[in-house]
Amino acid sequence: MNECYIKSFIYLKTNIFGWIVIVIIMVNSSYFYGFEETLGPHVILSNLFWWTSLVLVIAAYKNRRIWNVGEMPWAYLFMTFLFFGIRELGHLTQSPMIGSIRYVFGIFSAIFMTSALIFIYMKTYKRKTISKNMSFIPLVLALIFPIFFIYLYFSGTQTENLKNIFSNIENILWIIGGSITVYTTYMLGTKSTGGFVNVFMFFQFAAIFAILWKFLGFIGSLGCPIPYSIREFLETMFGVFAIISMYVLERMLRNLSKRIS
Amino acid sequence: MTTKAELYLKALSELENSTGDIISTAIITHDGLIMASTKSDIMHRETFAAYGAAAFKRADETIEELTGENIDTLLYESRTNRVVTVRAGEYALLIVLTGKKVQMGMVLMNAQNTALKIKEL
Repeated sequence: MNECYIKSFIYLKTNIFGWIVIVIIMVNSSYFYGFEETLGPHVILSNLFWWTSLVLVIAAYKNRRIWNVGEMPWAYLFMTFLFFGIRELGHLTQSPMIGSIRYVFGIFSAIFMTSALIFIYMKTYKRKTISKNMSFIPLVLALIFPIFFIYLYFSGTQTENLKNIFSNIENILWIIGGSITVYTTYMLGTKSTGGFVNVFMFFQFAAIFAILWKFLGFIGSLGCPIPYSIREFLETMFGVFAIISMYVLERMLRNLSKRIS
Repeated sequence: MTTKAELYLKALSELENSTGDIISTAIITHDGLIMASTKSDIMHRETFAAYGAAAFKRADETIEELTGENIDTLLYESRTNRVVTVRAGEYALLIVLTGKKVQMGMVLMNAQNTALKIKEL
């Protein structure tokens, strides 16, 4: 009887997941042959996912004393979702300048996501103390790009070129950062237990979709155009898995907080 | 008003006082999150909880495969330390890190009694 319940529950969960994917494909399908960036439903979905994820990070942060991985990993997780949310807001305008600035926020997000998971791994499973100097490395690294942007802007680089340069930098950083995240989440997932396995698994899925999304963007910039809708779909799935992982983490901390109060 | 976390901490303090050579104790969830823990200078709390829960989970899977039953107590030791993990109800685990000087029977008995107290809380 119990086994029957478990099977039906697994089936239901698989079904819900299947439905999410089908809905996203349906929503994106109206743009399926587009080669250009669109202001379609993908933008609404993406903004919804990333800003909701940010709210979930804030809710989880309230219970940080339960999962005390230090202030910096929490701060970097927060900044990952905040900056990606801002990046997605950039979709709402057609201005080429904002289009270029938006990639800088995408670069921030890639750096902070990678750093957050590296720090969580080092602190929780390697028992390494993250020194103050070390914890600021991602911030320093992230600061290079707006400075580079301002330098290029004032040295007379055309907005279109600026957009291409930063789009490519963002592609490369997400591919590198995503690959590192796949490794760290793999290491975290194999050492952890219970709900944390799901948190890191979904984070890994998110990283894999980020790599695919940016890899297609990168080869597109090298002269092999990929229908933008395929990239939009991958980006949306990136957001779906990010929000699931944050939801699982937040729910786990919230449940425990209730139990010990 | 006393919170559950404070009651858990009291139970851990009683366990530490009743048994010598205990390095650290904690009540953790099966996910590896800390519900309560005593201070320890040599052990990082989050690492202690995460690895403790992971070891218990693997041992539980092993014993379930071998005997079809769930694990209640897990004991493992190194040259200088011992770790005892006891199931304390549906959600919690009691984990105790001791030195080698301690009487193992006493630790096991006290840990199991504390686990019962935690379960009742």
